[in-house]
Amino acid sequence: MRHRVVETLIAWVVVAITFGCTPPQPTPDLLAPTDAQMKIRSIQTHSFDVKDRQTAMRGVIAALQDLGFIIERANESLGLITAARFAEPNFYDIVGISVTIRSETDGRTTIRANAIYNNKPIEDPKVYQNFFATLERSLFVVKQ
Amino acid sequence: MRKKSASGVIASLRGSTYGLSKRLFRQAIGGRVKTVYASLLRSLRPCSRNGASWRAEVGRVRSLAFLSCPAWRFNAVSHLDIHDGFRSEHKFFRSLLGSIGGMMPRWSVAAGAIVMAMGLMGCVAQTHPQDLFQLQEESLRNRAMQTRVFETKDEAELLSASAAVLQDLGFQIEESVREVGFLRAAKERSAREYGQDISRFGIFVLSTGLIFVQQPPIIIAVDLHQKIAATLVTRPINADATRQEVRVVFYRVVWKGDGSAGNQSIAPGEQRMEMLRDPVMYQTFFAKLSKAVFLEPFAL
Repeated sequence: MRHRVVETLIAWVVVAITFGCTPPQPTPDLLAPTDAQMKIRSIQTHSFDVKDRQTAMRGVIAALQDLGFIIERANESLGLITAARFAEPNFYDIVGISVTIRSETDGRTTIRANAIYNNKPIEDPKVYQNFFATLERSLFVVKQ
Repeated sequence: MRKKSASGVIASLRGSTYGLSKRLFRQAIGGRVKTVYASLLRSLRPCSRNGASWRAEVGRVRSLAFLSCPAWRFNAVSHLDIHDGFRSEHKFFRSLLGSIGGMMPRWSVAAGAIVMAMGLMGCVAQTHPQDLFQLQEESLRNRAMQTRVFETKDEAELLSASAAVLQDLGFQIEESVREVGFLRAAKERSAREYGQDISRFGIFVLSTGLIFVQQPPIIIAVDLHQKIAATLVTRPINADATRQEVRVVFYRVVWKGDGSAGNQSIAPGEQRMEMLRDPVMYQTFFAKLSKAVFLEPFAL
């Protein structure tokens, strides 16, 4: 009887040690792009027929201000804009967005936007569609 | 003007009512299952920021706190007074509930608080992020209020004049990017208001009756400190850049002092943020700016 108890104990200890000691092996494709990542990137990226990067930046700033965002930071040389706003009507939730603007060789400008809602990334395609629709309108006004 | 401020009032009222149910709940429970209830509430409404300690908040606020509001108390007063009226009303409501809490058995208050909290959670409007990226009805109105057009070619001059006006108004310039015509400025000021101190005292006196049921009187938290911020952007609006548009946005963050409700003390540093949408404030700013650049601005 006593032997049995000791055996069981040892068996449990062995099991515990084995589980504790085997770290999950990282798979070779740990850092490889997944389908979901590619999809989000394509949702967040939009290309516009604007040659001048500065014009595009001003257009983005104007669009964000129209949407009620507070511009936090703008960096001309990097083509980077950070903005945030409260999720009105409640003033405790914050929506943040960072936009990067890059000139392409073919005279177009690629704009990528990342939005977060209180520290959680927004992955809803509709949000980005709305943003780019507003941006398009704003860029069009600038061009005139 | 009154109408516009009202939206802000409702927002702050909503937020604080939620805090009220929390506090009442905490008081009723006696603070013992505080962590459980806190995590429960968090899981129910993961986004609420109300009632969290300043330390916990500070990182998040820093992202927005770079903006600060005006020493133009004379302008802000009308705006703030409306808030104050609403606030003191609801504080009275809070004290009333607190005194009821002192007279009823604890379990019944707890049950009531749960029901109330559930009701309130259902009522607080949650904006979906997708709505936030869509132009609203008031977007155009805000834009018209915040924007003026100047007939000038010299964008740099306009930007430096804007910086000078912001400095005249007591702002510190925190960031500037000439290439895209961007300025960010902030200032910190006291947010003390007599009305709040008076209602704090009144509620303290009214709630002294609570000592008969072995509860300490209620001390409400008042606004202590505020940071008022402005972001300003200039941009040419026609092809040969002879017309420049200036757009300025103001907002503020308010920090509250400490207080207590029942045996539970309210930690200082609870904060509230709001966009400033008082047209007079913007008119004052643009009047000063047009004087500074010797140009007559016109609205869109």
